[in-house]
Amino acid sequence: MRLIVLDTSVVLPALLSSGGRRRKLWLLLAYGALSARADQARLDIEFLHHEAAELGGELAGRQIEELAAEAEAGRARVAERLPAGAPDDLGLVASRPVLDEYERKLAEIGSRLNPDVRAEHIPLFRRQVEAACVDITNDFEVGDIPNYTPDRDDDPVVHTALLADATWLVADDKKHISREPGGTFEYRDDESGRHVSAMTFDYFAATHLSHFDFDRIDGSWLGLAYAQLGARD
Amino acid sequence: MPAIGSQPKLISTKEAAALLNVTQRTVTNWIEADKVPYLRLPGGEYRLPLSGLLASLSGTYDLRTELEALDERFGAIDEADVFEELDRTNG
Repeated sequence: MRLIVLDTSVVLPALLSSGGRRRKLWLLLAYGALSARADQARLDIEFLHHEAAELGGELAGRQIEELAAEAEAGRARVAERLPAGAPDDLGLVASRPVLDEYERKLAEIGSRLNPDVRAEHIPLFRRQVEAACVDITNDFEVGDIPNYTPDRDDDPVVHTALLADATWLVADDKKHISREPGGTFEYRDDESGRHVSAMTFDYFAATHLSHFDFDRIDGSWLGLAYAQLGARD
Repeated sequence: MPAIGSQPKLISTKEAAALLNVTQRTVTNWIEADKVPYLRLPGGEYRLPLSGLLASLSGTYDLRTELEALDERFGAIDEADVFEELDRTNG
């Protein structure tokens, strides 16, 4: 799985503009989440049974085997709609500080874009993001992380990408994060040796989504993907 | 560490609540209603597989209906308008 972290400058248009190109990427990420959860659930089955035996605990609640089968069937339903060659291995990662930042920015600009956006809608948007994530990284204190960018508010998204060992950080904040509109900007963590390539959405689409007919994706299929993520009998 | 393709991760109800921005009581309610997979430890504590928890979220909320309701009200906003507002906010 190739992990990707998105800045608010990409997430907010994806959430708010159902006809936009970033919504198409969002659909691919939801599709990636379905694929990943099917794979991960199979790993979890073995792990949970082992842990239950080791700790003397008891497995209960929703059956992990059922979740795995649902995710596999759901993945196949979305795959039928997607153009040939659409990747199933793009995995969205976030962190609590990054999710909080998405939420904060949505609250700040949402009502300016549409006066009907109210406080009670913001958690719903957040749930859309959380459901598409393949991982939410370990928590960290924003004040404890290094300076990566010229704007301290942008450091958590870079830190999240490094912590997750993500392949890409996609950001349309050219001033502070992606910095090279026609290329990539490399962030490094010398301590862990991890690095991540930051780039704009347009550059990412042109370089990593050009091997198939990306524009044939219809953002309205996202509902289908979410229905599969939530598939129950 | 990424949860996917690596060692599965078990988290406590407190960690799940913090990650998902809900109360610990809400997580316990999900457990009591068998809405999420979990491991009950001999001491009565619970551990939840992170990926299974995320996968179960959509069984807790109707994400498709929520998405469609959000899109119906707000989905017509143009990407360019979002950029403009973000630029204004970021200065």
